[in-house]
Amino acid sequence: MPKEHIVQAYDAELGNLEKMIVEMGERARLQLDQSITSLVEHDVALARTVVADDIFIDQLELEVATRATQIFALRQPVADDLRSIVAALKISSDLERIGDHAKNISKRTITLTKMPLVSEFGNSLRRIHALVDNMIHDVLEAYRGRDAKKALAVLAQDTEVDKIYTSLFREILTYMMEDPKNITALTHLLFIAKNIERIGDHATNIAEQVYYVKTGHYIERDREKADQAISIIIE
Amino acid sequence: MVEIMDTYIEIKSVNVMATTDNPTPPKMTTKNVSVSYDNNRALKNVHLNIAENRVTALIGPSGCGKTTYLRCLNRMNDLIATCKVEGEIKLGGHDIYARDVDVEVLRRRIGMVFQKANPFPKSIFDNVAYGPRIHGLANSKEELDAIVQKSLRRAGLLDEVENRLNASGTSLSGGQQQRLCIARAIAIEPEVILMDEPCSALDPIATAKIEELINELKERYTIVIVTHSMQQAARVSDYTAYFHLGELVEQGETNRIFTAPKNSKTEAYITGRIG
Ligand SMILES: Nc1ncnc2c1ncn2[C@@H]1O[C@H](COP(=O)(O)OP(=O)(O)OP(=O)(O)O)[C@@H](O)[C@H]1O
Ligand SMILES: [Mg+2]
Repeated sequence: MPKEHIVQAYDAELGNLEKMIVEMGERARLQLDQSITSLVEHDVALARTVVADDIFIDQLELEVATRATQIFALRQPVADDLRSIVAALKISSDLERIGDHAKNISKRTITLTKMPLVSEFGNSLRRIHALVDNMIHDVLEAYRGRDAKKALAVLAQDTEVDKIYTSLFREILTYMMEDPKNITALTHLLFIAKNIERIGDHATNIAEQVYYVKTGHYIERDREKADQAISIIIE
Repeated sequence: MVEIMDTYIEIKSVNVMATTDNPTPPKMTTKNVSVSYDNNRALKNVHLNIAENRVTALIGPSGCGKTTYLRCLNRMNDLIATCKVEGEIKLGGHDIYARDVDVEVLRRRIGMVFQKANPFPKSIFDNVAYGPRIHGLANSKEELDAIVQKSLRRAGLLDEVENRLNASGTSLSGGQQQRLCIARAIAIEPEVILMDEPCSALDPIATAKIEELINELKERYTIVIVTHSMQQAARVSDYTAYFHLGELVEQGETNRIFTAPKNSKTEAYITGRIG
C-alpha cells in the first residue's frame, strides 16, 4: 500500500482485511491440496477433514463482508482504498468458492474409494492440481504486492489449465467408451476435473481484481472460448 | 470422433470509466490564470473550464487557492487592493476583465455565496429582496414577495423564518444565516452560482436540502462549489478540480476522480493520506 493514512486506525482496518484475504487464500490452497491428496491416495479420513474444515473459510468470508461494510459506513473510502475494499469483497467470494470446490472433490472422493480406476488418472490430476495451486499462490502474491504484471501472468496460466482439463475430459470419455461399467466412477472423476478447472477460473477472477485495484482499470478477456471441452463432440 | 474448435485468449486493458473528461460545453473558461497578493503567488497558471449546467467542485487543502480562484470568476478580487490577477477568464466567450464590462452586471450574472455567512444588517426579507430590487426584477410588491418566499423555500429556510421576516438577518443562527445568504444569491437568478463552503455550518438535514437545491439549480444554472467535504464533492458535483499549493493538479469527471484518480497527490488528499 502507498503512504499511510493520517488516521492510523484506518490503515489497521485495511491491513486486517488484507490479512483475512491472505488467510482465506492459504486455507483454500491447503484444502485443495488435501482434497487432491485424499483423492489420489484414497485417504477417506483426510477427505472428511476437508469437508469439515470448509466452514472456516465460510466464516472468514462473512468476517470480510462484515468488516468491509463497516469500513464503507465509517470511513467512506475513495480511490485506491475504495477499489481495494470492493476487491476484497469479490476476492473473498472467489476464495470461498474455491473452498467449496475442494469440499466437493472430497465428497466425491469419499464415494469414489468404493470404486476402482482413480489411480489411472493420478498423474493427470496431480499435474492440473499443481498448475492451479501455482495460480492461487501467484495470485495471492500479486494481491499482497499489488502487482498488476504478476496478475496478468496468472491469467496466462489459466490457458494451460484449460488444456489439461480438455485432455482429461477426452481421456475420461475414452475410458467410458471402453467399459460402460466404469461410467459412474468416471462421471464423478469428470466432475472433479471440472471442479479443479473452475478453481483456475476463480484464481483468474482474483487476478482481474488485483489488476483493477492497482490500475483502476478492468481487463477485458475473451472468456467464452477458454473451456475447449465445451466444444467436444463424440460420434 | 473428438473435435476441438480453435481457441484463443486475448488480453487487453479497458478503462470502463474512460469517458473524455469535460465533454460538456464550457460556460466559463479560464486560461493561464495566476493570482498574487502583494507579490505572493496564490495561483499559478490555472487552466480550467467550467461546464455549463453542471456542478464543478473545487477541492484541496486549506490555503491552496480555492477561494482565490472562485473570486476571480466574478471579479471579487477587484475589491482587494493587493490582489493582482493575470490570465484570461471568459464567460460565454467574452473576457470578463475587458474594459467595457460592467462589474455590477457581471455579478448579477455570476452570483456568490461566501465562505463566511455575511447577511446585511437588515431584515430577513430585505436581505433576500435587496438584489431583485436593485436589478429591477420585480414589478410589484406581490412579485417581490413571491421571489423572496420562493428563494427562502429553495434554500430550505422558509419554514423557520416565515413568521419573522422582519427580524434582523443577523439574529439567525449560523446555519440559518448561511441559508439566508444562499437565498439571497439565488433570488437574482444568476447564470453562474459560486458557492464557497455553503454547508460548512449546516446540520445533515440542512446540508441535504442545499445539496438537493444544487441538483435542481443545475438544470438552469452553472454551479461552482468549494467544499472541504470529499463526500459532498462526490455527492453533488459532475466535475472535480483538485488544487494544491496554488496549482491545479488534476481535474475531471467526479466519478473518475473518486474511483481512479490519475495523480498521486490527488489520491493522497482524497483518501486522507500524508501527501
Ligand atoms: N486578502 C488576502 N491577502 C493576502 N493573502 C491572501 C488573501 N486571501 C488569500 N490569501 C492567500 O492566498 C492563498 C490562498 O488563499 P485562499 O483563501 O484562496 O485559500 P483556500 O483554498 O480558499 O483555503 P481555505 O480552504 O482555508 O478557505 C493563501 O496563502 C492565503 O494566505
Ligand atoms: Mg477558502
